[in-house]
Amino acid sequence: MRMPAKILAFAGLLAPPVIWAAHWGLLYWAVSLELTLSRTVPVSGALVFALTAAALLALALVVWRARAFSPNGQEPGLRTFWLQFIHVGALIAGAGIVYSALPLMMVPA
Amino acid sequence: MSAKDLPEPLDENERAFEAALKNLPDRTPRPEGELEELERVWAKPKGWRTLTVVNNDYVGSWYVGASLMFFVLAGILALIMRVQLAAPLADIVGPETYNQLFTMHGTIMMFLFAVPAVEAMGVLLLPQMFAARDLPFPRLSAFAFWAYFIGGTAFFLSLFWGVAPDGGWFMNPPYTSYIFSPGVNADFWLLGIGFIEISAIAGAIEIVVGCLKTRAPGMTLDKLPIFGWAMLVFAGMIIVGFPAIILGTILLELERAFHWPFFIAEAGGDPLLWQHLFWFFGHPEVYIIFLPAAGLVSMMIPTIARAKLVGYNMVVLALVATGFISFGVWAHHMFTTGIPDLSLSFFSAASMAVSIPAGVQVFAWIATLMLARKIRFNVPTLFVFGFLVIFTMGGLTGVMLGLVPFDWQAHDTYFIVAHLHYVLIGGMVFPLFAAIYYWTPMVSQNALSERLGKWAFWLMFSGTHITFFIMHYTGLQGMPRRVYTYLPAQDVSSVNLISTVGAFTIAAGVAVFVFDMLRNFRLGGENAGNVYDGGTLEWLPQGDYCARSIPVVDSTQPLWDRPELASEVKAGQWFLPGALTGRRETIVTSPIKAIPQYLVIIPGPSIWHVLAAIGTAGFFLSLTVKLVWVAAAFGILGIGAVLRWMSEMDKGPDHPPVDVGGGMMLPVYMTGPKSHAIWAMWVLVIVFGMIFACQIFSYLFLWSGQPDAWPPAGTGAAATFPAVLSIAAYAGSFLLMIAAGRALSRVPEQAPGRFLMLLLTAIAALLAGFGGEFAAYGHIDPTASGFGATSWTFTVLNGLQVATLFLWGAFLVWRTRRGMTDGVRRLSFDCILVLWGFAAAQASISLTISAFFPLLI
Amino acid sequence: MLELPPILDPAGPQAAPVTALSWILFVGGAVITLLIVGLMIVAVVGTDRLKAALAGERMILIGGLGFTIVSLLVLLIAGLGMTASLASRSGEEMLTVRVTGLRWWWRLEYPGFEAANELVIPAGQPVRIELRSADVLHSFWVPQLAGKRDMIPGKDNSLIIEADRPGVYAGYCTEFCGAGHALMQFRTIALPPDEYALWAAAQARPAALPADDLSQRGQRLFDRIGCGSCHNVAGTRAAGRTGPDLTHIGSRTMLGAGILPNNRGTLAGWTADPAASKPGVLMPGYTYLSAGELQALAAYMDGLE
Repeated sequence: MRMPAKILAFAGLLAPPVIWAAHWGLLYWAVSLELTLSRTVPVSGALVFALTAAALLALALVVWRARAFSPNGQEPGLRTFWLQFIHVGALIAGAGIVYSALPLMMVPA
Repeated sequence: MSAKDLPEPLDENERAFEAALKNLPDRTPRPEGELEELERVWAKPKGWRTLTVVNNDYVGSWYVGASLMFFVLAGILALIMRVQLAAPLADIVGPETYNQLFTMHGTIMMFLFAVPAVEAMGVLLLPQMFAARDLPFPRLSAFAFWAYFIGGTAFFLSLFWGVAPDGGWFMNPPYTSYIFSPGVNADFWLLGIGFIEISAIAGAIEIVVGCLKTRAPGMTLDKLPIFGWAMLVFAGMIIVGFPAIILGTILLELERAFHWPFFIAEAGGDPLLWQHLFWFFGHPEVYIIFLPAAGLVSMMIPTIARAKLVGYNMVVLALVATGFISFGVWAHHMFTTGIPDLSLSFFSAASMAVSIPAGVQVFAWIATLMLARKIRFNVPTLFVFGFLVIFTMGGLTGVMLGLVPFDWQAHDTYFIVAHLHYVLIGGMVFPLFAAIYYWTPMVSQNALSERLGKWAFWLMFSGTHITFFIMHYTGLQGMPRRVYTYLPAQDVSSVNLISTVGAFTIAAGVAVFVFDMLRNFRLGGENAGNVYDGGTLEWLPQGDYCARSIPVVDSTQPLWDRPELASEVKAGQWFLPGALTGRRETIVTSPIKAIPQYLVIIPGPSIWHVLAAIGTAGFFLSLTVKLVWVAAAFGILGIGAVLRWMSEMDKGPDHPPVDVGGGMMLPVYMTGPKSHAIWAMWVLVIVFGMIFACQIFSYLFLWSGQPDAWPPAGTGAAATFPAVLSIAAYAGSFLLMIAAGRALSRVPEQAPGRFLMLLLTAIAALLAGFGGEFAAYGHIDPTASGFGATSWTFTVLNGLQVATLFLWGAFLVWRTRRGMTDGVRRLSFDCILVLWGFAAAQASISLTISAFFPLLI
Repeated sequence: MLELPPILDPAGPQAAPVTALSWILFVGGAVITLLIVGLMIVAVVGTDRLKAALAGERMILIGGLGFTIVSLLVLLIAGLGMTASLASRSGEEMLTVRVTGLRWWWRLEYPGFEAANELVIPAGQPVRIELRSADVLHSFWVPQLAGKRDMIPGKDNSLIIEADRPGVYAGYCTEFCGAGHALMQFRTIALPPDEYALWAAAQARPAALPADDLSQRGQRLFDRIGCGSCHNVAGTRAAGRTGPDLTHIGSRTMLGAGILPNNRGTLAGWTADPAASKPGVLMPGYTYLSAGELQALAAYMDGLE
């Protein structure tokens, strides 16, 4: 089934912050659960790197496909809105993702 | 939502809309008596019946007024505290009173002033900004107002009996649990919060549907007034954030009333569970307050600069991004609790990230101000400038506190008191005052006084700095917060005296403002009009019906870009120039492009939502002071009033399609995915789903603290066989409801007997499923351990769902027998089906967790 | 008033880096505030050319995004680095004192003896503080020595403090804990290591015997009215654990959890009516005692050095 255009449009709009949230959440919950249960440092550098790279890649993908998300219609303003929203959103989300990856590189458990 | 809801590139509605646009504005003279009919339909009852009014301009104004009343009351509490702190070891109030004062000050300011105030601004302004006739659920917002007003007032009065809460606005257990706070004080806090939870959720539903579904035609998402975006994010954050505190209050009350040890360490609970739940709500709460205020600023700054907002798209993005990131910062209130450094650092990272969107907004405002040819320093301008300065300073100290090592020093000192007042006064109070001066002419016969307003501003602006700037130093000097006194040796006497002087300066400013309001604010009649020359739709000429006709919008500042719009709208030349069905109605539009879809009938004045609010308030109040029979009476009143209120809804398509203007024919009322009631239901299901998710978190959190004692020795897990049977009964009841839905679509061609039989069987299966939970949990003692308590909480949550469905199901039986529900008129069935599905899923998941999770680990 | 406040006047390696960070933050914050105010002034009185240069979306991209993202990144790295370095000593062997927060005082358990409300430590050495709570939440804070850490029932927290020079450092409970929260304070006294060793040895000894008649009368009274059911005086029949250990109360500089100077007068006044100095205190008053009896009690306790 094709995703309804309306849902797709909102999905694209919210994709950058959702990707940030997923990255932040995965790292935080993985670390916290391991810390509480086994009191060891669980998340290897490679995994952090992989997750962060995946999140940044996903952002790049959303930016690259931004046009596919924006509503097709006669309103140029609406389209610009979608594109700029996704682009700047990806910039902020990307900065946030880099921020979130720093703790695991800098702070011992 | 399903594929059939998919908007085709140019669907039927869009074509009809395009065609209608060619005929608008329609300059033919309007028929005789149309305006009088419109006025009659939307007229507000007079006399004591004014209480039954639901028009958003009245309810919104009352709402703002009530929140300001609480602002003044909580401010007076602050003055008493400042007098007590003016000198070391002063003896104005003792610690017992002082602890009630600061708890009430914080709680009232956050829950009874700030959240309701911004929500009230939404109720007041959004329909006008969208040129909609009213909000989609006007009785719901009126109910929310009454519940809040009655409940909030009772909550405040608890001070005079000395039984006000005294555990601080975040109510950390164990201090607030039954062992250390045996009185009813803490219960009053839980009560007061309960009201604000109810009215905030009700308001959020209203706002989501209002912003997405009742905008002016053509007001595509890129032209939605920024305040609408802010309120949309506000509503989304309430929907995601409030469930955590709802669950938290349920757990704390269960612990206080029935001694279920969620937060008692010796019994396998954990005080930190509360802090996680509270701050998962509590920090987003700050943005819940700030974002709407920022939205108001983004509406006023274009008028101040007489230029469109620079970077509209980025400002909207900033609001949305803040909404997301703010859910990743809660533990920066818990940096000192001994959570591992690594975990803390994630919150530090997110706390930095959340400042980026704030920076975007500040620079967007400044860039817009740069476009001004000449800035006129009227009162709204002054308050907006004051906001920029104070909020920036508060934001910067916020960044400091986001750094873990600095927070370890500054946490829980007066540095925090300074920071949070800068953020909240700067970020919320100043924008609100600007907004009150700016929008008063929209609802009042007179604008407020420029002269008095300037006095109010300068007193408040200087007072804020005098009071709170020095408090940064007071904190660095080592003065902890929440202390009723200090020793001379602490070297904070003179700085505290300065803060006290400053507090009275603020109070003087507020007093001038209150005087101005009393003198000039007059609700009703001809409003003062567009005195600041704003460019958005709320400045169209207004009547009880909002704008006379609903214009098509193609700009963010339509009144600037099309100066003749106001007169066209007033002459009824656009959509919906009269009361086409003879009842209250407004146009429902599509969420992205705002294409008209149908006409929805809106309920008018009623006593039932008022009685429902009185019943709700009376019920919880009487329970708090343990008057069980009085509570039962109020409960019956409340439920009866709600049912009576609901019986007036879902009237069905009793009116043929109408020409809303320009030849565009719209159906009246609609079921299925396009109905705004189903939207509301889904929003409610998300709220319940979040409550349930928080409960799963609580279960796992308590488990993670004692993985080796899950269940504790001597206790078993939930019994698997009854659990499986119970799951089967829940699932079966949902399947029966689906079958009932099929049967219903053949009514009234067929008699409703088959539908009723299936419905009653579904109710029976539901009750059987709930009964099965008791068989599954029967051997577990909820008072003996955190394990037992958190396991039984699943049943409590399921029980609330079952009770709702049972009442609603019985109501549906009644409606069907009265011939009020059939294959077409089935909105109340479709709504309950959504909730039923959710309840069955929640029950099945919860039983699976409590029966099988302990076996797995 | 114009001497530096404690947070900016650190006395140990766990606090000093935070002070440096604080100065950077304060100066940076002031600069940015001035920048924003300056831009607002330009918007009001600036020339059209200047204003045009500062308008437009470029302003948001440079100021709102570029500047913010970079400066926050720098701060975050500094903060995380400091978090890591402050925690880096937690593996070392060091003197460990268990501090338990109670309403509204501090129980101090040293290796081999117990004390209350006055934390004596050797200067120039790190000390691990194990933080516990016996009732509600409390928080342990000595601003000149380290950041604060909460005391939470059921949670084993700890904190490292170190004073790099001898001195007296004020400490507070910073987590709201009820009526006595404001007056739940304490002193940390850093002694040169050799003096600390003497002090610790003295504290480990049982209580001194009353030296004169008055003190002996005081001890009998202490016994008779039941002080020992709440208070411990090592070497006597008083073995209560509800209130502070009084074995060496005479050696402390302060009384009532850091709020009164400790002398015979305050000892007598506190015993008669502790709630007068500390409203809400859980210790009952002994107002029925005569002035002479109070003097005797005070003399006994004063002698417990």
